[in-house]
Order: sequence, then C-alpha cells, then structure tokens
Amino acid sequence: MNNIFITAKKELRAIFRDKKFIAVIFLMPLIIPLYIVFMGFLYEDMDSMDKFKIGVNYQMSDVEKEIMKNIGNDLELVESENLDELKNKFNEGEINAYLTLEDGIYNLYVDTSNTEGMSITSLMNAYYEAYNNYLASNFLGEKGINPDDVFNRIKYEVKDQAKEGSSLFINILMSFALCYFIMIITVTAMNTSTDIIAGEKERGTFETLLTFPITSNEIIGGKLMAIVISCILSSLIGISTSIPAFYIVKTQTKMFKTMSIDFSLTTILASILVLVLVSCLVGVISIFLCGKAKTFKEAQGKVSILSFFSMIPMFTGLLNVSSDILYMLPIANGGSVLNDLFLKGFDPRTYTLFVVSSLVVTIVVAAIVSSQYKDEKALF
Amino acid sequence: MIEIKNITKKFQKLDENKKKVTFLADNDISFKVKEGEIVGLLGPNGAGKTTLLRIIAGIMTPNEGEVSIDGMNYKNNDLEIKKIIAFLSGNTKLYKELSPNELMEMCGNYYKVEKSVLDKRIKDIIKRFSMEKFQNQRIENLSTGQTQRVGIARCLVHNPKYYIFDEATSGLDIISSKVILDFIKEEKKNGKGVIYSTHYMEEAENICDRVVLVNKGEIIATGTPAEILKKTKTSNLRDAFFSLIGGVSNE
Repeated sequence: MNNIFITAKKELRAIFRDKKFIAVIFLMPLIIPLYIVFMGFLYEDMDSMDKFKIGVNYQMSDVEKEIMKNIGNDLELVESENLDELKNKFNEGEINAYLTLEDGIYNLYVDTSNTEGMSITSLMNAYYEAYNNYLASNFLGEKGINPDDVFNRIKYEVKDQAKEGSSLFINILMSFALCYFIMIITVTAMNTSTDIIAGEKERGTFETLLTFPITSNEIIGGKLMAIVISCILSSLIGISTSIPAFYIVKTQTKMFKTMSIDFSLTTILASILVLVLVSCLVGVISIFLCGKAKTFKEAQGKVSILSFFSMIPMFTGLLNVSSDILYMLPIANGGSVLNDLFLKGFDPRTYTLFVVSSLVVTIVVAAIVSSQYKDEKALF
Repeated sequence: MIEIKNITKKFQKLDENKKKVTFLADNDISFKVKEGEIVGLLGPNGAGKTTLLRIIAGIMTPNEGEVSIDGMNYKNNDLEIKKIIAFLSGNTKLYKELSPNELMEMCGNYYKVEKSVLDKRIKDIIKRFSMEKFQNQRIENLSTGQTQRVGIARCLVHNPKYYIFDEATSGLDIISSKVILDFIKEEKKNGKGVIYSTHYMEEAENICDRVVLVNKGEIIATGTPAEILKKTKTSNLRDAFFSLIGGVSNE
C-alpha cells in the first residue's frame, strides 16, 4: 500500500474515533439546511408583514385617498383630529408615522433610524409627487395645456430581464447557503489539521512516524488527503441535507415557489470539484500554519486566521461583484463559482479561472510546505 | 554494522540576554556497533544522547559527520536504512486511538511487509508478549506495562537488524523495565545489534557489552564496563562516570 494512503488511513481512523471531530464533521453541516429553512420562512414572513399605519391630522379628500391607495397597499390611514393623540400613538408604536397640514405645508413625522421609517418616507415621497402631479395636471388643463406635453415628454418602460424563478431573496438565500459550504470546509480543515499536525507533535507520535521508511512529502500528502476527505464528507452531508431543505422552502412558501435551482449532473460534479479544490487549498494552508506551531494551542491560534478567509465569499456575495479578479482570488472565488453553477449555469470561462488559480496557489503553498517539513524546526 | 563517524550537531538557543548562541549538542562523536552486540550510550540528562540517537535513526541530520549502517548512509539510502532499524524512545508515543493489532498492521504496511508474512508475525508477537487479552483494545485504555509491550511489539513487525533504544525504561516500574531488558538480551542472542541509551548506569552495566560515556556532547570514555572500571579504578559505572568528569559539581 502506498505510504500516502497508509498515512491518510491512520489519520482518518484518528479523526473518526474522536467525538470532537464527529461533532465538527457530522453536526456542523446541519447548520446549512437549518439556515435555508429558517431564512426561507423569515423572508416569507417579512413579505407578509402588517401594513404601515399612517396617522393623518387633516381631512383627506377622496382623490388624496385614491392616490394613497394607488401608491401601494402597504399604507393604512388612521385619521384623527387630535394631534396629541397621534403623537402619543406614534411614540407608543401604534402608528409608524403621521401627517399634518400646517399653514399650507404638508409635514411627515417619521423616524428614519429604522427600516420601516425609511420605507414610509420613500412611499410618502412617491405619494406627494403623484398628488402634486395631479394638482399640476388640473391646473394645466384649466389653462388649456395638455399635461402630457409637460410631464410625459418621454416614455419609458421597465423590462425585467430576471430569469424565470429568480429573485433577489432567492439569490441572497442561495449565496449565503453556498458560502456556508466554504465556511464548513475551512472549519473542518482547521480542526483536523490542528490535531493531525500540531496535536501529533504534542502527543509525541510524530517522532514515531518519522522512524518509518516514509518521506516528508508522503507524510504531508497523507495528512492532506485525510483533511480533504473530512472536508468533502462534511460538505456532502451539507449538500444531502440542503436539498430537502430547499424542497421544504419551495413547497411551503409563496415567495420561493418559483425558485429554480440547477441540480443537473454537470452542476453537481462541477460543484464537487469546486469543493475538492477549495478543500485542498485550505488544507494545505492549514498544514503550513500548523507546521509553524509547536503545540496544539499555538496551532489553534495560527489557523484562526482562516476563519476570516472563510467569510470573504460572503462579503463578495453581498457586494454582487462579478469580475475576473474575483474569480482568481483563492477561497473567495469558491462561493462565487458555486453561486454561478447553481443559479446562472456553468460558465467555462469563470470556472477555468477558478480551477487554474486554485491549482496554482495550492501547488505553490504545497511546495512551500514541502520545504518547510524538510527542516527539523517543523518536525520538533 | 552501525558506524557513527565524527557526528557534530549544533543548535541555536537563546542565552540569558535572549541573544542567539550556538550550542553543541554533540561534538565529534564516533563509535561502532556490531551485529549481536549491545552498546550502551550513557550520560546524564542533556549530555546529547537523544540528539545522537535521533541522528542515528535518521530523524535528524548532523551538521558534520555521517552515520553508516551496513555500508549505507542517510544521504543516499534513507528509506532502506529505516527498513533495517527500529527506534524506541521514551519520547516516542503510540497512537492511542489504535489497537495493538491495528498499530502493528500499520507499521507492517509502512515497512512493506508482505501480508501473509505480516499476519503470521503479528500472531507470533502477540503470543511472545502475552498480548492476547488486549490485542483489540485501544491503546489509550491499556496500562503502562501493556503499552510498553505494544511499543516493543511494533518495533518487531519488520524484523529489524538493529535496535535503537532511548531511555526506554525511563519512568517504568521494575516489572515493565524487566520486560524490555529481557527483550534486548534475547534479541542480542538472535544476532541483532543494539544501541541502548540510558542514564541508569547499573542497568547498562548488566546488559551492555560495551559502553560509550558521554558528557556535554562529547565522549569521555569508551570500552567494556570492565575496562572502564579498571581504567578509573572504581567499582561501578556511576563512580567511574564521576571520576571521569572530575566530581559531582561538574554535573
């Protein structure tokens, strides 16, 4: 049997016989389906939230009410002649904003330090613009001028190019779920490498390993293989539990009813390769960092920097940046490529950029690790 | 034959003012170990014994000199040499999550022992060290004495020509120590060469054919125990050692 396989088998035995690792590898991926279901229902709940209640301290005409109604069904009017009563209701949170008319000026009292206040301000701006246009149109009509000649000099329409079954919420849900895979790989690699590199030194078994007829490259290769297998296993548990979670969200919510995710064989195989390459890269970086530590605790401190790296795909996902530089940025590109695969389909160009950049960086780090482990400082 | 030729090993360490200084762990050490011979490497803690044995076992590289085993050296025949030696140290621990059987199987695989030969050899070793009752238990659940037996057992799976023992009985009770010492005597009878490092002088006096006394990284005397006692006009190796270094204060 090849020395790399013997070493990997030894490490995997150690990993799967340790309760701590069982928790990391088998329980941590369950965060993903829980996240999908939780966020799916949360977005659904947000969409069906109560209407905004707007207090009105003056007599609104039917026309105003009609315009208000046309602005959106999200606004509900609470009319009262008593201004103090409206102020109290606003302060106690019974109404979200209130309107007054003083000396011919319409005033909107609203708290813009929260998202509701911001939304109401936006809706009310639209309302006043529409009402102003209505009044201006009447005025122009009385003067014998066609209002369209003033207000509608040009015509435009919005043509939504979004793919059928896609929406902003679906994209956010998917982006985060896929970035969690990168995070899971990172956490698994961090935990396993800390134990099988620094832990082995601390326990004194590394010296035993060095007495065997095995090269340092074979030791690193075996350990890397064990780390990658652990990461892949963890990811596969995440994938297999995420599919039913997506199904639940799709069938039990209105918002995600139209959700369409590409689960074709090409997508699955391409995404597994993404996970393998990210695992190799994160694994080899973890080995490098742990090689610089003498103790388990010291190694934990050194690999903690990888937690930061695992968050990068989420940031880039939020920014919705799509540039070649991003696809060449190791680890960060993992989330973007997965996102593209499942939501936009296989793009050979960006996928190649990801594969090549990941391979190049992995090989470079592996070469550094190889020379690092030829030095006795890394061994003792 | 194991030939240690002019081995020198330097380390960098920090002095009292936290400045890097070069420290000589071993300085121009040379001796030979023949097949069927037990050579004791004796000296106090910090004498450079462990570093020297790590160099002989191919785990460390010397700054100067070389180790030759059966005409091969580590520069050109690293893996071949490791196949004919076994290294057992008080510092080298066993994989606690494995059972003795699994550990021996793993070692046999590393040494590329043929499966049928390995299976038979593991059976023989288990019988020889009375490990039947705990052969499938995880090492972490074994007693110190049982663990020590497993430690020796794993050195046997590839049937080495030479053994390197570093403080193998350190911290062990009298019964566990006896198991190791009996094993070493038996292997000598089988024609195996042994380097036995210890700071227990009496132990070495009993089992070693020749001894190499080291202090502060340098050889201070070499020969049979009888020769050294005669030379120093002392009655035991402990006194001989103190006589050679000029008293206890030097320790």
